[in-house]
Amino acid sequence: MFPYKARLYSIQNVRINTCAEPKLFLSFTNPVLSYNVAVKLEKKALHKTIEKNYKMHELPVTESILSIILKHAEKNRVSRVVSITLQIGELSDLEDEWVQHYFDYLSKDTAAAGARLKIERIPVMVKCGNCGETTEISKEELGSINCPQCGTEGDFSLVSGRQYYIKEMEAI
Amino acid sequence: MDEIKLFEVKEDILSDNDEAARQLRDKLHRDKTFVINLMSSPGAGKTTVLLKTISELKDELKIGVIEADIDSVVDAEKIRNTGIRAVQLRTGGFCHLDASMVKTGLDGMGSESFDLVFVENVGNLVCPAEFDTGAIKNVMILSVPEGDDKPMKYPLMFTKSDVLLINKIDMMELTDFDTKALKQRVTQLNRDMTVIEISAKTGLGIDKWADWIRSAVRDFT
Repeated sequence: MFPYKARLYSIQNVRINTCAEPKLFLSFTNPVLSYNVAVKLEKKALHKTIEKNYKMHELPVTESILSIILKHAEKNRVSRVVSITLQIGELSDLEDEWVQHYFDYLSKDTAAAGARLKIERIPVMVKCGNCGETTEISKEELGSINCPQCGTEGDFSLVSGRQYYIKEMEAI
Repeated sequence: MDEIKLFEVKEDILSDNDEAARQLRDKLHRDKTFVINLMSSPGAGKTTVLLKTISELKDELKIGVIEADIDSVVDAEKIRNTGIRAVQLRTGGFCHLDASMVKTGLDGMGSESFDLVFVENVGNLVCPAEFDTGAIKNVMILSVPEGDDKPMKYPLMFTKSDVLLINKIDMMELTDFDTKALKQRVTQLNRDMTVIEISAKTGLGIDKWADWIRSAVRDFT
């Protein structure tokens, strides 16, 4: 029980603004309500959110990971999946923490329950339209650098950085 | 203790959606229905751009609209008032549309009898970029007040779009928006992208955008 009365504005009105996390609209009769309580509430709300079919893009991605992994678990007749290695392009806005969180939630009572997700980030590679050289650049450099090989101003096409790939799994 | 073994998986996580999108595109080619996936931040002017575009083209093409704005029927009503068939997808908080949702909308409206269908994606520059909707072309709208640095913040969206509409150019003087810098950033991310400057409010540049659609639909059918 909370020491102070907290009013939770209906979960149905949870708005997803940025996809990063569900926003909770709370109004407390006492402003000293600790941060911890707010965080606990948020976690609880997340689960409700999932049950209510509120989705963020990490969720369908995680569902897909689980179904592919369970298919491979069955095919290889393993009893428990210990870890899963993903390769995700640097350009993909996937929050590692949320993927793991969703995975833990979705994988309960399956052979993949408790598996740890290891995420390898695949760098952004661009190819220069002038000299044809392929260069690795950071996400931040995108849209702001010239070709390091020939100096041509912005004539790149993307070679890699958008991957959503399951590389391997460890299992018993 | 059982030994931990390593198994190769080597599968694309989004392959189901990619496959659904491929099948949908095949169907659209057979039906000769040109589908444009329209993406932007909330408030960039998707609905206003649509309304202007519809009034420019509705005498030449049979147009339909799929609306996916989160739990709102306002936009669909605005579109229906123009006499155009609009279907509202209840996305229930979904942050993006995927191919199966778009297919549901297209099937619901009987898309095979349409020349052109606009899919108004959820207003957001992150998630819609990750999922192939099965549309023939991806178009994004960036409005002047949002700033010219958006390509640096949301590069993926810019790499996946075929056309960039710079909307609200009538507000240019009120901001320090640098069109040249924006175009440079866009070219560095996606040199095949067509950039068209418009103002859905005053109608400026809508003719160029309509011409782009006319020629794309002609090439498609």
